[in-house]
Amino acid sequence: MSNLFTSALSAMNAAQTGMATTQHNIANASTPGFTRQAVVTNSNAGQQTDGGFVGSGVNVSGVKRIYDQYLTNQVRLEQTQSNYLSTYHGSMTQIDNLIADPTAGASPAMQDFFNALNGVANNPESIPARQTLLGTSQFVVNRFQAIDQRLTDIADGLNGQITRSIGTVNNYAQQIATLNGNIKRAIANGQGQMPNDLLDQRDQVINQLNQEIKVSVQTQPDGSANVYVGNGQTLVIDEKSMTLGAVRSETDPSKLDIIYRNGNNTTLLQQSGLQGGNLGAYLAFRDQSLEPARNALGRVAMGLATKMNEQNQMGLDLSGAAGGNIFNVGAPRVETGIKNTGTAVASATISDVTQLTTSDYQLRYDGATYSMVRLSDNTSTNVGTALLPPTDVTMDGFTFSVSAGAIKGDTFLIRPTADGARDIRVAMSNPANIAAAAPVRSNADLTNTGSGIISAPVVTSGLPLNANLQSPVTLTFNTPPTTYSLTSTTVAIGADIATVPPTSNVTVSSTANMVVGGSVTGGGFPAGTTIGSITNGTTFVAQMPIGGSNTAVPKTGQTLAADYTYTPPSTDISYNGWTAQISGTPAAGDVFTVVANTNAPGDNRNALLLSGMQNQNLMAGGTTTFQGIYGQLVGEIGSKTHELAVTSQAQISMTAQSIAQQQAVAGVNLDEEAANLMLYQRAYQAAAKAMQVANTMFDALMAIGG
Amino acid sequence: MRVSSNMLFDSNVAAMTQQQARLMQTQQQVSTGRKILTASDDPVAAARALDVTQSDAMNTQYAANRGAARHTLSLAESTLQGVTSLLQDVKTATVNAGNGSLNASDRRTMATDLSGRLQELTGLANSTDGVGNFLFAGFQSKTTPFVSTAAGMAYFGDDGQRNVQVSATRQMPSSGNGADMFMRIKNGNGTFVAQAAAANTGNGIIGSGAISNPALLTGDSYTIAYNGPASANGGNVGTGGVNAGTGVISTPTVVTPASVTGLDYQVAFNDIATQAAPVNTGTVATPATVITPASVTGHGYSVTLGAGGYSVTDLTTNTVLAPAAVTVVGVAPAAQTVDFDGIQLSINGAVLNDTFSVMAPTYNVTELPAGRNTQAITSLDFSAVNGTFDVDGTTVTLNVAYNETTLVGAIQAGLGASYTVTSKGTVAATNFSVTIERVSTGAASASVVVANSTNVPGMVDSLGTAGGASVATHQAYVSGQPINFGGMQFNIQNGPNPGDSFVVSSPGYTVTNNTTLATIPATGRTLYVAGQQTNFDIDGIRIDIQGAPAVGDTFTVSPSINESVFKTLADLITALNAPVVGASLTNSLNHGLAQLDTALNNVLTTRSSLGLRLNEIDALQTAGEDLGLQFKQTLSELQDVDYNQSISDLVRQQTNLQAAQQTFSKVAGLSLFDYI
Repeated sequence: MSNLFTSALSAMNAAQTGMATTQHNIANASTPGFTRQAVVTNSNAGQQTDGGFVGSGVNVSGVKRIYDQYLTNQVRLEQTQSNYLSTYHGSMTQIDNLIADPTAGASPAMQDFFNALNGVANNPESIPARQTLLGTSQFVVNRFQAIDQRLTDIADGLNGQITRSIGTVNNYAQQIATLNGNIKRAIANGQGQMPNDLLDQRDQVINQLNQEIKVSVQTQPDGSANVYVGNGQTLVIDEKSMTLGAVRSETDPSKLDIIYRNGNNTTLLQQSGLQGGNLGAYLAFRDQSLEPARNALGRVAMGLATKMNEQNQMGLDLSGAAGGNIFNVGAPRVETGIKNTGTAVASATISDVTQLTTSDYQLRYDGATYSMVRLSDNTSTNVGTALLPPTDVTMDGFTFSVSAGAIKGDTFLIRPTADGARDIRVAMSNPANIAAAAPVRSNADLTNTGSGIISAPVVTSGLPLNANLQSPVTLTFNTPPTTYSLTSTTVAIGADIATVPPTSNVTVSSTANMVVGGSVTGGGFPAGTTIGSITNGTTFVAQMPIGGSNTAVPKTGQTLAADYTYTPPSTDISYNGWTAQISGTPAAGDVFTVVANTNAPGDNRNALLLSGMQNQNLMAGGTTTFQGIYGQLVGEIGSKTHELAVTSQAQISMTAQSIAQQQAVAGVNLDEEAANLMLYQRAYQAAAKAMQVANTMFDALMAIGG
Repeated sequence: MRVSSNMLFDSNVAAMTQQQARLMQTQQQVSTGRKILTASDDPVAAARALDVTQSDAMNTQYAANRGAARHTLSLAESTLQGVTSLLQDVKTATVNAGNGSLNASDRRTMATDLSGRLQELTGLANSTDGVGNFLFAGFQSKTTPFVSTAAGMAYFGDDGQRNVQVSATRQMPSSGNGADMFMRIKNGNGTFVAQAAAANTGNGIIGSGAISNPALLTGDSYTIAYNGPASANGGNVGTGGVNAGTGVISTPTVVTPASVTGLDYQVAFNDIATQAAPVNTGTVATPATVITPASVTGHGYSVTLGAGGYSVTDLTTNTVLAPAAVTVVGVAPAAQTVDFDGIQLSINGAVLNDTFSVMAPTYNVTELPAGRNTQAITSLDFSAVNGTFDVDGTTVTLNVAYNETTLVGAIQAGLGASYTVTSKGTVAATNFSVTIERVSTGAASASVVVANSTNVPGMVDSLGTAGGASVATHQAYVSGQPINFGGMQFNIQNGPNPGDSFVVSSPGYTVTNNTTLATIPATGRTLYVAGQQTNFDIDGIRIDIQGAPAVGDTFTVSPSINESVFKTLADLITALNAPVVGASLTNSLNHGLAQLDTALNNVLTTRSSLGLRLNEIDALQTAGEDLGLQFKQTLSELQDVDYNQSISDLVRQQTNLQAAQQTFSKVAGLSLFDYI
């Protein structure tokens, strides 16, 4: 009989446990991280009778989580990647719209600038047109600065986000350590029963940590979980948690680096090791998109400003003076590594804007050699040795030098274009200073009898301009007019010959016909040196002044040109840094002159050259235009954003799928629980009925006895 | 598959969120009308849209540039229209001015009118664009280009030409310079100009000339000089070109036009012949020696040894010279000299009553061959350093002090073997002269120019070798008696010395190449017959001169040079104000008319070029508009929303979302708990 009672009681107990567990499941159906639980029962061993073994009820052996470690890990993997991509995408959209916007980007400002240049070319005398150009210059500058400022704001915001993210990570690490302790003790106390809800909590915290930073988890036999980040740095071990920190970057103090603290030791976590989670996204966005975008924008600003300045310097302004700078151009940013132990100082200047890239560069000294690493593709170039530190080494459009005193391990970060957009300024305040005119003009003498014409001279000398560019040059056609002679009053002398004693004569060659008795200018001749005798096609004798100092070193020049040949229908003549073309049929004695283009407010040749630069492939090694490199920036940002939009969306789907799979195992289905509830209810009722039956039997038995 | 209740909600919410996001994107596209809201929507199209936007903006800018160019070109065109009608008016006035019935006062009125026109033209040439920039000043647009100076109208602009970027590949000149428009107008026919000298007094009217053979053109200038008969002292090689005697030649006159030859002649005096009478015992040396050339009279004499000595009778005047005028040295019959009137007779063995005749001088007339060119050197300092003179284009440099001998050597060395250099006299005696004679009789000799100055007057005489045809020999010379040959008549008076000579030139004209100094004809002159048209063809140039040029008139043919339209007008005004001498007015008016035609042509050419450019602008405008349309279309394709597509998308997405929402509420509402 007792057997009947105990068996029914065990069944009622089991049903009660089942109902409690089902209720627990229903209660926690919406608890994040909750894993459904199930009661584990087994039948009690039967009592041996002559009729065999008779069952003695059910035993609740435990409550287990319906949990799949593989699926949980899978969810973590997908989740951290999903957060990484979504956060990266979210960050990218901030700059995506800013740069390509047809009204707010730099593109319309540049177009306005060139339109205003065309206006100056159309009306070089017009002060209003010139003023408009200065106004649009300011507009361009404002646009570059505004976009750069926005990028800086975003970078500053990122630093805050990184700091906050690290705080969260540390907080979670702490929670996990605490939970580890609880779980360990619960297992020990529970005689092997698992503290299911604590485990769920810990899994949930790990999941949340994993969304900030990619982690790997190793569960220990005692139930504690060790958490690793980066390249295997332990974040949590047993009940102890380590911390991460954000510090000013050693190589680039404007940004934060992530360090790992273990007691007093700190380790730098490389960005490459932090590939998932929000933190990874912040770092990747900053290093792979934001700063390159700033560099690219700086390159556009530097290219435009420098090229405009150069061309303006090759013209004459409204007052006839040589043109100056339209813009102030930023300089490369050079950061000394904060861990540098040496005293060396690095410096860099832009040497050729057309060759600039958008990359940053790191100069490293390993104690023997200096190497320059282009960070965009990690190409390393040896640029100096311990004995010969790099001095005026040029690569990719900039020139750098390092002073002595570097010690092994020292690094310098060179960002050639990082400040280009920030530091561009309008240098010109007077609209008359825009150099619309070319420096020289040509004239045919009014008394010429031939029909020869001379084209407007084109400046072929680069900067610095030929010193004699504006020297008056006279071309006189000989008899017969198949040759012409060239007279220039100024003669430049080239390189050294030798030191000669004062008062003696020295024979040098000149570049042109010269007047005997004329003075020799330049070339290191003492003042008062005159041209003694001269033969066309040969050299001239310079008479050194009596008492002249022999510290001055006369220099050789080119051979005095013989008469120039004129070949109909046209012949180019290049001289003093300009080129003009004579065409037609000049007559003997016809005279053409090339003179300084003073008092020429109506000349727009240089303005045409300035405005024509819009179409020229001046940037990126002469492969594209200003607009082209800006478009490249827009394209890069757009396609990166687009790529992230697509991949993050895909990742979200995959994550959702993983979660669905995981939840398919571990999630609570209320219908199922309702069914279970009914099941256990029925079981209970049945057991109770058995109890009743036993009782009735017992009563019957008693009645027999009584 | 087992479904967790949370997943049912989560996945549905996620799906609806996504659908909402898409719906919002589509809605934004529809409301902005743009397909690309951010670069990431379509990075390739976004970058391309930037490019196309720039191209489109540039295209629009080119249209603005074309507007600017059109404005400037139209201004220039309308100014030049004014210039055209002004020049046409001036042309009409010039043609009227040639009307013979006008008197000086009428012409002065016309001149005043033209002065006004000149002012007007200057004003047009100095036109501005309305904001103070001169249209025709080249690059120097703030400088008044045309300013009247003492030397005529001067141009203060330059040759600059402003270009405007009227399309991506075309820079169009939008301005012209004033020099090309008003200053660079080639005079004459563009190759050469034929003009009458201002001082001409005759009626010769020179035509504009024509090019008869372009291959022969030299680019040299030529002078056509009309000369009457002329005569000159000197020219004898033997005397260094200097006549020793006192003979004076009159200017020849043409007495028989039909006999005029055009040649030059030399009248050379022969030695003074002497003769002893057949009965004489004594003899006389012949010819007589001239000891004082200035005293030579040119008369014949009879010298008779009488009892009282020699008596000398001047046969021309038939008078006996005063005994004092006769100097006798020596005693007869021994050798004696008898001096009178500058002549010395050497008589030997004369006895009483012996008579000796001294012949009156005779002269020969010879046609002068080519190459004669005599030029007196008024002052040549042979002792000076650094003297130079030219013979036939060869420069002789004298740069040290010379004596008679070294000077000849230096000149000979300078000129070479083609010349013979001789000298006469001594430097100290100031009767020194050098003769330079060309050995060959090639081309005409050139001028002899002497630089530097002071001391010794002399003559460098560069002569061709004698050898022309003889016209007459041993003509008796009678002072003052008319001499006739070659249709000319003249006389020589006083006492020419033996060896003296005179040059007589026929009337006619010569054409001299001013560069090579060659003359046509090489010697003498081309016969000119009054009233006859002069025309000749030289070095590919054909020239005709109508009417009758006066003696001394010259005409020039020179390579065309630039003559400003202002100068043409100013010259016309001057000509109209000046008194009419011969054909001077006609020549000036003809020249002026030709110039006006050229100037007008120049302006019309410029105008047509302006018109062509305006046409081109119109064409470019059309092309630019097409291009703009194309850009806009491309841009639209790149970034504009396709409303059909988008609205259909919108409706579809809306429907989907609605369906999701409705089914969700149904699915979410299902629960077993409802049934227990």
